[in-house]
Amino acid sequence: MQRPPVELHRLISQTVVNPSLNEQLRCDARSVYTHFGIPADQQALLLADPRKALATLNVHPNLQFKFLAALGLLGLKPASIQPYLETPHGQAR
Amino acid sequence: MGKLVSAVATSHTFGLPDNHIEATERVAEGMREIGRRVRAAKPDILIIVSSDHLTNFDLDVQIPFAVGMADGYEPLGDLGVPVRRYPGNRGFAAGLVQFASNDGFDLVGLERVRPDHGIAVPNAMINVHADVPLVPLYINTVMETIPTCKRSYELGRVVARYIREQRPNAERVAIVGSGGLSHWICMPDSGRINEEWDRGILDRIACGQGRELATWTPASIIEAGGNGGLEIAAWACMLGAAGDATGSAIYYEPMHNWWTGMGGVAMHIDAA
Repeated sequence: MQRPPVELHRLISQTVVNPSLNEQLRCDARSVYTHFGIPADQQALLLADPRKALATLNVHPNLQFKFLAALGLLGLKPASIQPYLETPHGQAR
Repeated sequence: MGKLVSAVATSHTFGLPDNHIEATERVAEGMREIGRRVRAAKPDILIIVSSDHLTNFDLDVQIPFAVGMADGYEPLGDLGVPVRRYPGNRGFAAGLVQFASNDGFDLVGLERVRPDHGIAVPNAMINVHADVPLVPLYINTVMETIPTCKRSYELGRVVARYIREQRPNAERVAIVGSGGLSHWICMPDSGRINEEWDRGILDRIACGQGRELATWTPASIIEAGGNGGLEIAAWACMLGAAGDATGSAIYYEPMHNWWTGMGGVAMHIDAA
């Protein structure tokens, strides 16, 4: 069984609890990859084409989604349900 | 003995209206209607069943089933869910863990969790006053070996027995299955929706044949409904709790711009 990209999975999971990582990834991805111990060959793929690399490296789909969103490469735009929530008085906001 | 007074299921994502303003409003109104129906049953406890989206859980320690034990929760805030505190119910959760263990389910107890949209979106739609104690029940269909619909349905039956046999007289419990319907996330079919599959689920549930979901394997679900479609394990759990009840489809929209078939049902439960 092939070893999953565990270091990259950990990095992406960390972006959830530490959103400042997203800015660091946009500014200096190589340093972040090195800090998280991502192997050099994976770093090269990610730096060349992140979207293709995520598929090539078989990154978990939910984590691909988060990573692409962090890099601004996701096809879906962020949305909010707030305008659609019912208020305590029984009306839509 | 306690009583199950409401059982519903709904999709839990949301997106921008783009050029589909009316469809977006129909989805929102469907979700709000589900919220109204649950509130009308006056539950004392709100169990919401969902997968986490690898926000609270990670792949280093893969936990298939877990239940929130905390005294309160603040949502993560994704998809614009307001970050406010909701009460939990430690006694209910701890009792469920013990009861389920006696019945062959080893639920992991969570002392700290920030529910993402899987729990938080239906909770925001239902728990408008933030006053119904929330018990998040995780069926993590993002793990490498995922809980099956068969197993999830059985867990729902265990939850129902727990409510009937262990909970105080007159305690009123609602259960929400959250997720789906068809969606493919970061796979070659990303963006695809299978409307026929989605509507077939709603039709089966309406006719009281929801237990058929318990026969679907993960492979068959991925083929027909995508990796995101695996979230219907949460619906299967709700259906296990609801038993032989029939239901009503509350809403369905194939939201292609959201990459997701959006739907919701409410079971016909005697809440008296």
